[in-house]
Amino acid sequence: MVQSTQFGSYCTVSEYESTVNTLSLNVNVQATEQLMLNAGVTYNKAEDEWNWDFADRPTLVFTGATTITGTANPGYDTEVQNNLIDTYSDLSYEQYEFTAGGTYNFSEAFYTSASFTYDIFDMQEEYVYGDEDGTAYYGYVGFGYNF
Amino acid sequence: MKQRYLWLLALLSVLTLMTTSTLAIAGETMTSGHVEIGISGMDTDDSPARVNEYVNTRSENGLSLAPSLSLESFTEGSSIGLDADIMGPRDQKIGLEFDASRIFKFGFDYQALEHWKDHDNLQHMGATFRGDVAGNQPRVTSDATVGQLGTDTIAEANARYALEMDNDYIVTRRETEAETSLTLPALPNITFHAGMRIETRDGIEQATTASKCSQCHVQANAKSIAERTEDFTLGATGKFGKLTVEYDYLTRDFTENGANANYNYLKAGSVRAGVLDSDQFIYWGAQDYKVTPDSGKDTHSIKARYDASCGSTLSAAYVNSEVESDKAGELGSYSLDTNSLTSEYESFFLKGATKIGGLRLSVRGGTYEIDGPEYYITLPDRDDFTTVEIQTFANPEHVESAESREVTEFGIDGVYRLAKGTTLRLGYEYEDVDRVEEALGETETHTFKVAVKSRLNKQLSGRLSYKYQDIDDPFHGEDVTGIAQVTGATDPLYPGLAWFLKENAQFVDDNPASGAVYYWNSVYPGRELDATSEPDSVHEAKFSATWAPSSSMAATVFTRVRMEENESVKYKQDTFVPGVSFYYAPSSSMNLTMAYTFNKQETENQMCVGWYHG
Repeated sequence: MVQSTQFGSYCTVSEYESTVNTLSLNVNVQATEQLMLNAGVTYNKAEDEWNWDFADRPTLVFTGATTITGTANPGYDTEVQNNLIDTYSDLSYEQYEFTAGGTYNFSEAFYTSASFTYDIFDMQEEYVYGDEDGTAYYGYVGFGYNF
Repeated sequence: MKQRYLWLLALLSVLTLMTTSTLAIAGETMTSGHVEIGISGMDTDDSPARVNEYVNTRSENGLSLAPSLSLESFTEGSSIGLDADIMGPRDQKIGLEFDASRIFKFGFDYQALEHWKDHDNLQHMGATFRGDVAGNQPRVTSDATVGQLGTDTIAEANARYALEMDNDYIVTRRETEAETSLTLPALPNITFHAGMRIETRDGIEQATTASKCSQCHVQANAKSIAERTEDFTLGATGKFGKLTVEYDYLTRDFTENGANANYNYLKAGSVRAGVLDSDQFIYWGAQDYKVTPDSGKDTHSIKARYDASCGSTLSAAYVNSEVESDKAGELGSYSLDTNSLTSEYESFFLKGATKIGGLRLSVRGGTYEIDGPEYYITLPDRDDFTTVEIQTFANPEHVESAESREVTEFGIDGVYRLAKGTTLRLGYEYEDVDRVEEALGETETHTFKVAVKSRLNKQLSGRLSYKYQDIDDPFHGEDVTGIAQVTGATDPLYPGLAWFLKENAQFVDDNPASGAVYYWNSVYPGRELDATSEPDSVHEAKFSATWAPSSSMAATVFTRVRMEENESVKYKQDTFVPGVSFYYAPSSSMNLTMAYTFNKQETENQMCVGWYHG
């Protein structure tokens, strides 16, 4: 029996598209002579998508002393499996940050300040790190003295 | 706190006391600032890894003491400033500045910040290997001594996977910087300066590796991080009439004291063409991985600038730097003919600028050379395979660093005043990168730039620019992908498919090795296409315009468009970034700011996947 083997490659152009939107709004208000207020909103939206399409491959040709034609193990490299690869690179998330705070002057020297921030991270695709949805609350209150 | 910090804090305390007392004695002192005491709190739901990625106040839910102090004090010719902002245990900034009659200046900064690191769940590694005979993929463990395919049960592997997924990968970065300068009244044209910077990184990161054939057997472990970088600088600046000369010396020491991640690399048991697969590996068994070597760096730099009376300037800079890192091979895998790898950088640049009528002209050029590591590597397991005639590897093998290169740069810029408030800028840059490793090629880049900047009236101004780059032989890998894509047979039914059909070739067990087809003697040498993500032509345009009808309102619109491509590898990337910002103050007690940016990027690149023997 004539011995032979076959090997090669499949090449195609892959496409990757990424979009990011970033919006921020901030306002500062001197509400009264003693009270200064501020507030802000930040919004991010990011989406990434990778497209890499495979065709299935012809049957490998193997002829050897102890084998017959077409005994390639198809378990590792099927078209269906290869077309799963790009789905793990799909990225989609939105991020919101709301902040509000203020300073109240009891006198020229003494004052108090406080702030509160609410963050949201919302994923629509798990990407490669799994589900990373989360929310966070940050607060601060303090008393100060100007000199 | 490390013992090494104590001397620094002691010095700071003494200096602060000295400063305060000196200022009080010297004359009337003006002091202002504020002191604040507060409580900060943080609470998270679900995953904190992204929403609190750069840790705000603290990484764990709870309350923290949050004091802050700001102090500025001035007296005759001297000043001291102190800013401390403590928001949590690892969200801290401290700054101190001291100026004693411009004779002695001292600056100190300290900051601490925590960062949640990436934690890959490795699920994507199993995308093409779900049919593995021993069970579900990936196989992940946090135990360095086990994780052997065949000795783990599926339940054990899953338990270790769950254990690793519970790790919180957080690294705390602390940076301490201090700078001093001394200008003696007896030597007023020379200023001596010295500085230090200590950066530490502590925590754990995810370390990932894989055994034998590709990503079937993926392992991830926690890697301890205990890095310390110490920089010390010493130098002087002298002003001699129109000539200014500066010399600086930097010495850097980097150490990593964290325990290395370790994995028991799998030993393949199959026999092909009469040869054990395990004999084809250059390493297997228990090995450290993701090892960061200790390293050191010494840099000398000299800068000179001459300011001519006609508004012309001439400046020159020389830099010599040497980096040495510990690397002596790895027991059981390979050895080197050296105990350290060294890399030397040397550069010399000149720049001149002058004004000729309405034209402002600047010319710059220079060259730098990187002499990277060059060594011989010995792989003992290659010698076990010498009876097979297809063995063509040199052992030991000579290795030349891809960093080694000679680079020549030249640039010329001209700014011409077209009319009142309007200028035209034209520029050209040339760069030649000649790499010592010939296979990586010599890259030549020509860059052409044009820009118009105008203030049309008191309310409206703008800038428009365009840049074109022509790049000859960009950095790329030659014949690194696309098996059989040039000289192989192609399939008309499946565009993109190509293969070699080799007669009298063998791939099965118990055959003599002669004529056997392996990855290295047939498959890898069969790659016929180049690959790179570097373009050979680039177009980039930028536009911005600002409208400010009054001091209480301003609006800016801007956009950036960049198109780059390399047809030889079917690479193309387009980037589009428009945006707008707006400021409005309807009254003296209220102001609003708004900003929006959109970023869109589309990339195309040819990718190939090989196929052989399943």
